[in-house]
Amino acid sequence: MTYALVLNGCSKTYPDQAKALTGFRDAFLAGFPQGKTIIIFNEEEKKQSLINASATVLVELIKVERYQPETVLTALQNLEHESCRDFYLFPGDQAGSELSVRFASRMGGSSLANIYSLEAGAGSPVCRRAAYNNYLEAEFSLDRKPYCLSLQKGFSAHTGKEKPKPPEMKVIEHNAKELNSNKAGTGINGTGAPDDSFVLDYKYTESDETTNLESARFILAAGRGVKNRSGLEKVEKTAAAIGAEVGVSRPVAMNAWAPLSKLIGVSGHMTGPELCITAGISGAAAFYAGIEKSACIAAINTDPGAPIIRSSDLAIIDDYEPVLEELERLIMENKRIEGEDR
Amino acid sequence: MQILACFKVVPDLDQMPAGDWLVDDRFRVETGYVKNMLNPYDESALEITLRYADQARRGNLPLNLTALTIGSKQADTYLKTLYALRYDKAVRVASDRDIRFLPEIAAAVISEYAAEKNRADVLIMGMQSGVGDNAKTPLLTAEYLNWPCITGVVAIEPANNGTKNLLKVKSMVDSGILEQTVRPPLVLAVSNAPGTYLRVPTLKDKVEYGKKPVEVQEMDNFKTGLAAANTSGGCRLTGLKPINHRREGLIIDGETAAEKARILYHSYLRERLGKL
Ligand SMILES: Cc1cc2nc3c(=O)[nH]c(=O)nc-3n(C[C@H](O)[C@H](O)[C@H](O)COP(=O)(O)OP(=O)(O)OC[C@H]3O[C@@H](n4cnc5c(N)ncnc54)[C@H](O)[C@@H]3O)c2cc1C
Ligand SMILES: Nc1ncnc2c1ncn2[C@@H]1O[C@H](COP(=O)(O)O)[C@@H](O)[C@H]1O
Repeated sequence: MTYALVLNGCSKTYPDQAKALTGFRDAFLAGFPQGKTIIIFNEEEKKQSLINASATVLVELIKVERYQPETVLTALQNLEHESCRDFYLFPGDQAGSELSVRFASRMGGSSLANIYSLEAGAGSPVCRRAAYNNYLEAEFSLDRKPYCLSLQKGFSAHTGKEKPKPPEMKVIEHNAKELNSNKAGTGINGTGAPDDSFVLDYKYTESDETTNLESARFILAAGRGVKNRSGLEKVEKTAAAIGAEVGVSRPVAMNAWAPLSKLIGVSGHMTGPELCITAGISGAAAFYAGIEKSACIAAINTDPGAPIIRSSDLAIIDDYEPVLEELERLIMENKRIEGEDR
Repeated sequence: MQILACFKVVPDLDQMPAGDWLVDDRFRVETGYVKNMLNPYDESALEITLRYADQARRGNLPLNLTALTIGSKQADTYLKTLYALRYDKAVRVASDRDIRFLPEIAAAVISEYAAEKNRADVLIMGMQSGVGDNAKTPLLTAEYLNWPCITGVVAIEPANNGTKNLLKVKSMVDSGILEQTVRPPLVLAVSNAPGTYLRVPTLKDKVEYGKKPVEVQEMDNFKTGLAAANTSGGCRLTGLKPINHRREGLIIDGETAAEKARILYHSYLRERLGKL
């Protein structure tokens, strides 16, 4: 069995992608002969650092002008059609998930998005992922090579050990333009796959919103229970005072009381703080998956029947506002005393 | 512009009592007794389409909106609402096949409908839908049609004052917004799009437009699509079981909210916070 890890070097999330795919490889494909890494990239200056993060000795680079899915797909297809691998692994973000499904369709293989485990032995590979909005785990058997899989968002394997770096890497460089030059617009086998000519112009605007939710050690998460924008603003003030990072559930983001960059859950950030306090959050599985790795979860909810109560370590059944007010007072007081002691 | 919006009606799984996740030997789960709802991403797709329509009508641009779902009769109330919201056509492909984990079939039916029956310029749909959570249908549809696809779409509007049938598409990429002027045909996939809850039709529009009969098509009439589906896929469901989210759930009691907060802080949080 052979494998390829496909990474998007045009994205800021490259280090996380590399870490997740390496972890997945170590956890589930460790017994396999050396695979290769395919890195899509657009900036020459970053090339070396991209290569350095690769988990395999063999690295194939594909240079693109910008990350454009149709161009990338055709390039991948042209690169791989002659010596197709058994497994292609893609990162757990929108781009990775898109590539896994479309690439499999073009190569006549099978795809699954958002997986978190893989058993690859003699027979058909078996993968697991969440279904039913994260309430159930579904298991699938894959029947057709190549198996194109994208990881669950925020996947991290706890393999524990740091692998030593392979001594010397073998790097092969390609250019998407050249790869696609004969075949652009038609794909291989005259499949008529589209190229990027449907885009007449484009503009990318980086968001100035930043969050550290993924690395935060203390999170205060607010849900629909905060009722409106001013409710959320109060929570934000409290969070700033007590040193917590603010996260929100989907209704808060959808109502634009907070930017989407604060969203926690399967379609937002997957976090793992030491402490997560939830206020006015019911604990739907799609949200809960995003805080599941917390060392401690303390929930504040007026409804004793809310699912978050059973899924938390500590719970207060009450209005979140006076609870947070008192917590803020206590934490501030403690900070002051500690400051005086020092 | 001919736009085809595809949506799915799903059970509101957040309403399922924790103990009721029973899976039978054919991996079916009884969810019939919880309320159903529009799949959230599809709801956004339907509203994003209506916002495009508002602008197109203001600019007197030619426009035709079709909404399509594959599923049972329970979708008809949603299809009627879409008529009242001024969709021109509301179609249900009737099927009693279990396609929960067969996005290839949904994609084959949708692409056949788009290409042959509807002649759509633009297909808009959600990125992922319960209960299967496959996150594959729009991508497969694009591949079957050999159309390009844009994911993470949050808004569309007519481009160049609507000349040449061009579209301006805004989508979320990484942590930014990509704004592209594009030439259809293409598939658009919507996931989280803030502020796009589906509007409610006015009473007047309900009376004037909401009574049109839903067009029902039989899945069996989509032969080429289904044949295509049978040769693709390659994933068989072999297991389904509840995920355990249980923790201790220790409830902290006290006379007042403030007292509970004090107990929580002194007995549990202070030490933990001290270590951060
Ligand atoms: C494909 C898909 C992806 C999704 N992805 C995500 C995701 O990434 N993240 C996410 O969050 N959701 C996601 N969801 C939505 C998810 O299913 C839930 O709808 C959502 O998490 C509910 O948010 P909530 O808990 O804030 O709101 P609700 O479920 O409405 O809960 C509000 C809670 O606040 C409590 N409350 C009200 N007033 C007070 C008060 N004064 N004090 C204390 N408590 C109070 C209520 O008792 C209630 O329990 C997704 C859904 C789908 C279908
Ligand atoms: N039965 C269906 N009828 C209409 N559209 C569907 C159906 N199933 C999936 N879709 C569309 O495909 C998207 C992704 O679904 P899925 O691939 O099943 O996660 C949904 O958000 C819908 O827009």
